[in-house]
Amino acid sequence: MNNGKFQSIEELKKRIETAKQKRETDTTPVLTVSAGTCGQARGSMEVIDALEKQIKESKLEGKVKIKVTGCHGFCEAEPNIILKPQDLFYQHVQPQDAEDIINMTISQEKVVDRLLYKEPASGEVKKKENDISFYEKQKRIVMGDNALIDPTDIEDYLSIGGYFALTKIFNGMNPENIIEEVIKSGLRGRGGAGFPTGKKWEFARRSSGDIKYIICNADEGDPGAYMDRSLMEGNPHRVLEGMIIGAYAIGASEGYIYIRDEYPLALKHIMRAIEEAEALGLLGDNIMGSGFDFKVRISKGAGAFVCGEETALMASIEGKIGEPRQRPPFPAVKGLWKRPTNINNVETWGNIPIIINKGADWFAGIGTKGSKGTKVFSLVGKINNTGLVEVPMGISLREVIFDVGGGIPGGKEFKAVQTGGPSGGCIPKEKLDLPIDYESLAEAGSIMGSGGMIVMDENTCMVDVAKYFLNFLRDESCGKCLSCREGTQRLWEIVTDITEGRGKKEDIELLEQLAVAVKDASMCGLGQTAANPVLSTLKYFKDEYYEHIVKKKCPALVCKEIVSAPCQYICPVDQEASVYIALIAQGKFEEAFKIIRKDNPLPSVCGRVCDHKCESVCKSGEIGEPIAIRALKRFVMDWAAEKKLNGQPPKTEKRKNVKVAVVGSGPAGLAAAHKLNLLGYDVTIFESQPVAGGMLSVGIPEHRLPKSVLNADIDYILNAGVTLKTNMALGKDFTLDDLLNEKFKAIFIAIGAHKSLGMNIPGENAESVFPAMKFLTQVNLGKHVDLGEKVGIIGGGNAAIDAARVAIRNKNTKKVTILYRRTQKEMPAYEEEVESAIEEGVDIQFLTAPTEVLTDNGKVKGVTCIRMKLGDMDESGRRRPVPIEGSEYTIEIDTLITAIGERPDTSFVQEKDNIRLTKWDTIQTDEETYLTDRTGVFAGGDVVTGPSSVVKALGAGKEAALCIDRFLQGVNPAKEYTLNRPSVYIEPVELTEEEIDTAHRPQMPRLAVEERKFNFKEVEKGLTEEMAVREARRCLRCELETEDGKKAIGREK
Amino acid sequence: MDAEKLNIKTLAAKYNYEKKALIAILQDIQEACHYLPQEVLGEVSKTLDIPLIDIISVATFYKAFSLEPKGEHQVTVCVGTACHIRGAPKVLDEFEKKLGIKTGQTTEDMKFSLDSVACLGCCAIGPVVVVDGNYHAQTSIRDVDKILKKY
Amino acid sequence: MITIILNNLEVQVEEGWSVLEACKFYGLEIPTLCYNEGLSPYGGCRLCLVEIGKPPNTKLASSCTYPCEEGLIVRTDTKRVINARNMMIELMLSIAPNSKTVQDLASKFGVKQLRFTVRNEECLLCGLCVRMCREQMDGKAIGFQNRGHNKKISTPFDIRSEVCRLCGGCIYICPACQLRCHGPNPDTAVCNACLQMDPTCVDVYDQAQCWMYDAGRCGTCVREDDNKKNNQEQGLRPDEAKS
Repeated sequence: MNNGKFQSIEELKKRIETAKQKRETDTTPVLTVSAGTCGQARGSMEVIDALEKQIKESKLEGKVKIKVTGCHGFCEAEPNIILKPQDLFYQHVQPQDAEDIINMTISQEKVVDRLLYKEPASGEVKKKENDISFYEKQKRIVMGDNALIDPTDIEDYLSIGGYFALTKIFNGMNPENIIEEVIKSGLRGRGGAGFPTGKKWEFARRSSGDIKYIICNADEGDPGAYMDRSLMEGNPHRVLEGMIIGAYAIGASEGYIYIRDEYPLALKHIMRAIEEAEALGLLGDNIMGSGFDFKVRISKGAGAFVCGEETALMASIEGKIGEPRQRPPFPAVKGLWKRPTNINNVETWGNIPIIINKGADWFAGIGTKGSKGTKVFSLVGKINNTGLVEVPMGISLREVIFDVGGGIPGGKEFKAVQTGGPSGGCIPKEKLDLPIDYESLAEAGSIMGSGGMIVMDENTCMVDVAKYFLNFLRDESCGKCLSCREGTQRLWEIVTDITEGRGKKEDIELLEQLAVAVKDASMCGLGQTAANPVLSTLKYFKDEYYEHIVKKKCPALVCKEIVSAPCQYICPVDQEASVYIALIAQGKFEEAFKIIRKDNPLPSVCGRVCDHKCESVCKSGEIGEPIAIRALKRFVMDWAAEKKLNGQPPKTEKRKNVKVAVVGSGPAGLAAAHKLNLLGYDVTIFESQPVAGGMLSVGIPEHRLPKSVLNADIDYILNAGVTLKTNMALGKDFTLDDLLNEKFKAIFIAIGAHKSLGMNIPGENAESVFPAMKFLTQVNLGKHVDLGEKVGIIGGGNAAIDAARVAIRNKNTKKVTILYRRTQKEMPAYEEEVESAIEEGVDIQFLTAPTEVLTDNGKVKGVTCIRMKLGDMDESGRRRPVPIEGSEYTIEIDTLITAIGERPDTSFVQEKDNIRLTKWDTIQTDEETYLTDRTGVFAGGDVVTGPSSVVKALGAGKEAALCIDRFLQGVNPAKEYTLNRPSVYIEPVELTEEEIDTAHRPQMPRLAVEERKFNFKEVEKGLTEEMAVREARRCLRCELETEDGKKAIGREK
Repeated sequence: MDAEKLNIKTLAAKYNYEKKALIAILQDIQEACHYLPQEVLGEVSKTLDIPLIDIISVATFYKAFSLEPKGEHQVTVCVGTACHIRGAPKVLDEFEKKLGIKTGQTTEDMKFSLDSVACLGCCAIGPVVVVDGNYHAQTSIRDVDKILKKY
Repeated sequence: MITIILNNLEVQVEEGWSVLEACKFYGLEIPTLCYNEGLSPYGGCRLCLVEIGKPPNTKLASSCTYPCEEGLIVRTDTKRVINARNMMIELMLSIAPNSKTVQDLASKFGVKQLRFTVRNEECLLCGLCVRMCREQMDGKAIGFQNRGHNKKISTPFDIRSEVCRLCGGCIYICPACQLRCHGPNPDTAVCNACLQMDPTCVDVYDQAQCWMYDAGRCGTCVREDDNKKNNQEQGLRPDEAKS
């Protein structure tokens, strides 16, 4: 050696051998700590400090080593440690774990269980790195070495055989051989375009000129992609080795690494690597006596995505703005300073050494016919195992996302995966089995790109995604081509309008036309692919665009300007929850009452039994606990009732003198009647039961909804001038034709779904077996019901729980058992109801289903059940229960109540009625008008949807009333869609610091269990005024975050 | 490098007065002064014999440079795709609200500059906020106050 | 001489010609905006698009910057070209609806709808003024700044440039300015009023970067908000200053 530099390849070979030997014979355990940029951000350096300290304290210097490496790829697990040589994998390591790691694992070879990896699906614990599902399907031929070496020490690189490929190329291989080998391997550019690398090298080699350049494109501008950063940080010599080989093959004497500004650690490591390589004579003049000169220089990016494009990158190296130029001439002919230049991506360079070492055939054995080798993907977004994954080409998207990635967190549903960055597209659920290779992805409307793979779930809005990418591109466009500069700007404007509720039907066509023009007319790759996000989301998610444009809705609840306050947005009756909550917070209860009353025809009812979807979309719930919206509504209604404010309904003086019939006085019928009456129509409600209320009065028991409360709400509607005729059943006491003969100009059928489903098992017709609906109706109408001592209930919805809680209040009944075929998590009944039932002594058995009712003399004496286990998902998104063979057992009961679902009783429909029914016995109506097939006959509520919620039925009634009104006026009855906005903006309150830290969702005060026995006193007592105001102050006031909201309270210009 | 000690001739000499080093030179000036002062750019133009307008073209093209003085503390919120899906826009909104400025601006008291960046390559720990080179992982709107209080 | 196939005809062209030059030689009318024979080609307006290559593997390219090569297949008025070109014109209309040049293009190629919100910015960023200043007049006073939708043309720091010799080349060559400028005195047919007034605008508006910049007349190189800033800084009279 001369000056420390290798003079021949023999010297290099020997040094590699020595280093390898040293590594292999060293048995000292090594704690390999992942400390790339993310690892450091998560605290790897503090962990390393703690380990070093602990090693000193435990006097183990020399007995264990710490190796600080780059990223291991499993970002979700960071800070992570791999203990060599046993490959023990520890995740989420904190500085305080150092003690246990050193004292238990190193000293006593005991595993620290809490640091081991647990599979998210099965809960299985995995000790070794390669057993972990994240790593199992990967083939880490490029990234794998990251976990083995210290990237700041060239010796370490040599010790794993680094730079061995140089001994091959300078010995018996000439540049043509090398290029042949690369062509044979089938390697394609990993930066995005996928051009065959060997061919590219050949062009550059064939170009005339003494001075040639090679460039390593480390600009990695795709948001979401960071595999290049990881390779540069963790194994910079691998990249250099590839570049030296490439430069020799092409005949280049200078190489540039263009690395983006935002990667300080990668820059530091690559600079050091270059220094080290120069010091050993692997870079410089006459490398190892071969006669080949090659120097590498660094050129830093300055924050421009477009500089990832070849010609723009070269312009930047030349000190100019990153403006792409026309090709031809191609860089291989006229590139940097008009000289032949070959540009390749970091990952491409990283593949070269292993191709030379293991041969083209070995490499071509991995992957598919057209796409050889592996690809590194950054798997990010809504995914459990976030990280960098290297998989063989041809693996399916499904395998990567669900097997390697561990699926979607929170049990949410997969929606799309975005590949290829801003130039790529979104791939939906239907295409999950696509093999990952260049051609399939392009066919699906996306591209491979640099390898960014962003997983999206049901809470991602695809229109928002298109807007996001367009916003990015209009900023990053160099601005030369009118088509790209103006095109991305205009595309962004149109999509933004759509996300803010200003979309027009013509927008879709305009988007498509403009997108094609941008694609066709632009000069460089950025412009040519700029329209891909829009085109691919339009291709697979056009429905979502229409929802935004026509219905002013964002199904994923993302677009702020459309959603405004999610509670109001999702409410079927458009209740302005955040407004009345804001008024409660200020103590203005009467105004709050007015806001509630304005939109909800049965507010006291809703305040007790609503299924409060508002609370499940409450933004406060995303970062903590949702606001107790239903409880707050009840508070206001109770307060108003006390102050006797709830009695005077408004009367519309101007009458239209048109009669409308409403059949059914459940929530749908009552809401329709109320609205129609306010609009000036003369409404008569026909109710089959002796009392009004439908499910509210015959289904829901008094301990949940006192009759006095229900009747107050119903009387409010009737007192405004609505006529009620009870004991009138459609089909029995009158027909539709009768109504039309009586000069009713429109009919609204809202008879609900009260017919119980049968179990279809032997013995179900025995005595003392009856459906829950029948049971509850009898009880609610004040009739006596004979119940035995041991009551069994089949089902898991609110009807089952209601029946159970009513049964347990029966003095005769000693035991009530609910049998449900799934688990508690899947029970459709309200959580608080299930808890109350258990509190009151009801026994719930899960994962069990009845197979036979055992009778004695026609009377039920027991039921045989079979145990279930959860199998695959069904259409409802729940796992289907599957019986376990041979697990039958019997329960002794003397009363059996079935609550497995209801259907509408549409037996009144005759052929001549011209009313179409679905296969579920519901009435078929037009979604936009509520009309049945018969003119003038409308239907809504459970009779159309099947069993649903109270508030949904209220919403249907309200909307149908408006449709009926339009119909009667002779205009298009279809629903009209408006943007969700509150009627008034209330000033927000300022929370004190103490409040922010201590405020919690209140617990609903309830009657003690003892006091509930054998009576139907209302169990929930309602919030106190203090509790209500405190809780109301917690509201985040989402409606103030829209532009309208901000303006209203003076926060914006 | 210190702003006071900035000597353009020395700087240019470091890069052999090569025109192609313009971006690197501007990066050095940006690091030293936290922005590109007018007079300094004029000097660069003379020293490297590059028309001033060309220097301005470069200075305004790349996001790394600022012609306006930046604040004492630089708050950068990553708005890359992965961070975006995980709620980065809300975090950025919250910073705008708390600092009373829009993204790209500096507070009146010159204490904070707020910027967004397209991707820092730390997608696993998103949303990411960097303040003066310190990375904050998994930032939520609740953390915004806490982060600002530190400075 | 090399051979290219132009609209299915084999023709001879000089090596080094752009496709646009070849088309012009053979009398094919290709619309252009940012092209000028005396200046280097830019390829920014995307009007001179032609379809290159053998179907179905074709692509569109700006003919002013695409070099002729042996055997190149060029078609000038395909469906793709027409659709793309018309969209370019529609985009131009939304930026500079008052420019007669753009209006003429729209009328000639049948662009009848304008579906984008009109911005009235006048500057199409064709860069002719920049190239004129740099290449013909050797001024190098104005140039492109920023990028993407924020791109603009101006002098350094938006103030009067030391190297600007007030030659007026930029105004002369601007397609948006042509046949339009009315100035504060609409009756003046020839726009030179500013130099004829007493005192001349050049004397009063010393810091202005071009003497055409005044009350929104031209001033394409200075955007709306910069107008306001400069107006205020130079104490322009309110009736002359455009807000």
